[in-house]
Amino acid sequence: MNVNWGIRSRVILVAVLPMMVLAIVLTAFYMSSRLADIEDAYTARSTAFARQLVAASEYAVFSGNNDALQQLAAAMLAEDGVVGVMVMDRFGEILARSGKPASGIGFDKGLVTTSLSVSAGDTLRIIEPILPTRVELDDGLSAAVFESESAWQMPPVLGKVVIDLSRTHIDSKRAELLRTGVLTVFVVLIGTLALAASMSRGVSGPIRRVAAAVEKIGQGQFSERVPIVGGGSLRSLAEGVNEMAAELTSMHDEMNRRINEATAELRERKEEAERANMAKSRFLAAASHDLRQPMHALGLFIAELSQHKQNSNRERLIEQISASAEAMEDLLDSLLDISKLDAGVLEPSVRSFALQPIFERVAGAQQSFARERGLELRIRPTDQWALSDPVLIERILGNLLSNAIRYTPAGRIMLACRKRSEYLRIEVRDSGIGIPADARTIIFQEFVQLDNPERARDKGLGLGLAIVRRLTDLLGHRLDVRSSPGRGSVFAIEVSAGAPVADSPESSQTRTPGELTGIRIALVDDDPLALSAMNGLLRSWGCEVVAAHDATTLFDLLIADGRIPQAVICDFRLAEFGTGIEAIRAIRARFGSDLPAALITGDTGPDVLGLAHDAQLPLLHKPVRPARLRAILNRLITNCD
Amino acid sequence: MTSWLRARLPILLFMPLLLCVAGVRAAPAVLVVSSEMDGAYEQVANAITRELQLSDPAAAVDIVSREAFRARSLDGIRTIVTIGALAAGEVILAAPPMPVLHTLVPRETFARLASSTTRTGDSAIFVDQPADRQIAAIRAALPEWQRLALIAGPQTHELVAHLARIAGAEGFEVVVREIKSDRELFAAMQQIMSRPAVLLAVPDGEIFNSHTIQNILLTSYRQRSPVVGFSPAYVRAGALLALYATPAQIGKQAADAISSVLNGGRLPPPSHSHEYEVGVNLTVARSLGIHPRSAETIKSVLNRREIVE
Repeated sequence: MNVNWGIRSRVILVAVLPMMVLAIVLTAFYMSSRLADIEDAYTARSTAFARQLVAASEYAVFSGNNDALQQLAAAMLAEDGVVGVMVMDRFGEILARSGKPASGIGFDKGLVTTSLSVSAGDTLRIIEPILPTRVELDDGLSAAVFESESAWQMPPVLGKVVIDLSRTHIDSKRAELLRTGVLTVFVVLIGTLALAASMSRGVSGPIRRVAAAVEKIGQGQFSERVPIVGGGSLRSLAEGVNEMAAELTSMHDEMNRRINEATAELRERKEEAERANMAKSRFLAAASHDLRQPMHALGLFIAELSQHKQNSNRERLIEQISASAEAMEDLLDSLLDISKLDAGVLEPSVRSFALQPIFERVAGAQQSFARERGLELRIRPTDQWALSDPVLIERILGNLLSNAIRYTPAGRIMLACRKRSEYLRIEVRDSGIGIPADARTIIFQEFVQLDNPERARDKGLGLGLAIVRRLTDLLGHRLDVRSSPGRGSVFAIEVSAGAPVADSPESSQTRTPGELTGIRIALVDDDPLALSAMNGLLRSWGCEVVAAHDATTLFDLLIADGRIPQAVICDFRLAEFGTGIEAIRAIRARFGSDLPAALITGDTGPDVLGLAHDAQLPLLHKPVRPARLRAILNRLITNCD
Repeated sequence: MTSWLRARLPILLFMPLLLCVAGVRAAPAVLVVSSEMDGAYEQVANAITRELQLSDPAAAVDIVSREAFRARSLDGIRTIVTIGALAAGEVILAAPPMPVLHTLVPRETFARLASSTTRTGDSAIFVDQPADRQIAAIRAALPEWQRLALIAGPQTHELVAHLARIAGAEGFEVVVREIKSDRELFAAMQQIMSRPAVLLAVPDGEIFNSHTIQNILLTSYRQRSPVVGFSPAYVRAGALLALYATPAQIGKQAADAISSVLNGGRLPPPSHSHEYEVGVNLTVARSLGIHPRSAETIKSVLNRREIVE
């Protein structure tokens, strides 16, 4: 028996199986006995026909009245199921014949003295001897008279009657009986099933209620209880389940309490950590701002200083100061980039662009650095167009090239692009020291430098790949590293291929600085050192500068001057007007809403970036590189024109 | 003890003698040998015993079967009575020294048995009725019927011829038909009863038996003809009339004959039974539309006629 059966199935089986067996056995028994009865009755009826005919035809056979016999035979044929009738005399001669007696059934042509029934095919043949009716004459006295002839015992057979009956009738009856029997079994089975199903509900009901309750408890409804009905094991089962549910409820409550306690503690810790993080961010932002202010000024001073004619010694000194300042600026730029990317305020501007100009620019920028290190930097010319943000791609490639140059002591570096169906695979290959397999993930973390335990300044900061990873994530490009230590590395990014478009206008970066001559610029900065440095730089480019340490003073100066400025450069953090955004808004209110303006800030926090972004003002971080300042001014004035 | 023996010794010595005398007195004088021990045979035997007790209480009767007769000592037997033809044949074969009375034998049978032996002094009471009595009975019962039909088998053509002669003398128009088997029976009956006639059945087992009697009666009924039988069974089966002697009547006649032997006389000559019965089936008569005379009338007519003779 299948052990997976449920209670209901078992109960139904227990109820149905004996019933089924009984129904089948009884039906089979009664059907077989009924079939035998039908057969017997049919034979008896047929024999009765024959005897009837024998009785009726005795005298006709005795008297040789064949006409009467023919009439009798014809009358017998009218009986149900009779297909043929024959009457024969004692020599087997046919005296009368009616219907179609079957010819295939052989029988003794001679005398028969007892009834015979022969069944062949669908015909039942009854042969009955015609014996004279015996009238008792032996009353003792007659016997005495005929004593000598008393051996005369054998009855004189007059002839025989043959009746053929069709079995079709009985066969159809049998078929009907079989049909009825099968139908009965079927009906009994259905009835039993229905009864068993309803009975099993009664039997399995309490257990199924317990099962349902256990299931609910399992789903967490610990308040569920089983109604206690009946007695015996059913009762103890229900009680046990209820007890278990109560136990579970108390355990659950206890656990909840502990979890709540632990959660509260965790929340407190988290808040503490967040507070600490915020404090750190504030500190970093402030420190960054405060570091950038003097760096900005320093850059401007150096730029101004280099404008003047100096002797060679001083020029070399100025160059060295400039290089140091640039390294510092690079560091601050990288930190700024990271914080920008982490703040999520950078929105890539995706378009189709040719790769070759970018390759050339990037390689050109790194060429001198490569040459210094005795490396061969080559690009493989390409005519592919990519679909991405060209500025960010340029930044990525620059970082990758710079990284490759740093970690390649000798050999060469190659920048190439391969077409891979709808993707372009841009690769930077080097013959450098390579990256061990276990280090391939950590190289993308900030300040990780594999071959710089002493953290030498000339080997970079360890931020290049961190920025690359943030940029590829932002653009949704796949970044792939293949490397074997000692043989070199391949950094690859996969970029969607783009369709060539008509040449875009030349980048503003290609503008010549001479165009700034005579441009009238309003400058606001509360830091006198930065204000002075910026003023000096702008003036060295030939700009007319109106500089003030706050907006009010600027207004006064501008009114006194009587001319409208062509651009405004404003520090973000001002003592009087709050923020530079508000100052610019005030200046624009006074001098026209389309007055080009840019913000300068020493803050690297995401909040300043967000505000500048919302106000649609370009933001320059201190220390501002002179080249970038010029580019911004160029763009602002060109757009305005 | 000794005195007891001495006192009774004479009795003890005479006892065998006394027993011997008693044995002689108790020896049966009549031995009845019966073909069968039941039915009509038993009734005849009982009638003989009963009648003999009345007429001669001293007479002792012993009834044995014919099988028992073979081993039976005949010492002290004065006469033997046989019942039935088989017993008659058995006893004649044994040839006992004493006279034998045969009962319940047909006349023809007795004649055949008697011719096979040289014995004299034996007698018989026939079971069948004399031909003239039968013809006379028919005449008495159905005075207006003139035609008499007879069917003879191979065994009975002499009897039939005898009957035909007497009937002819009695003024009947006699139609006789001889057949060889019962298959010719219907044709013969059709022929002899083409006009209504009284069919007189004869004791021929091949023609008149329990299997044929139904069809014979049916045929004769359809020919509007009555059948006259020779036993009460015939009357019950559907014959109009039958003349027969009962076992009691035969037994009484036998007892009378034995009495005369026991009293020193001789057996009377062989004869038919003096007493007889007439059976009439009135239902058959009504069916045929015949009005026969009553049994008593017929008997008295026959009695008168026999007294005259």
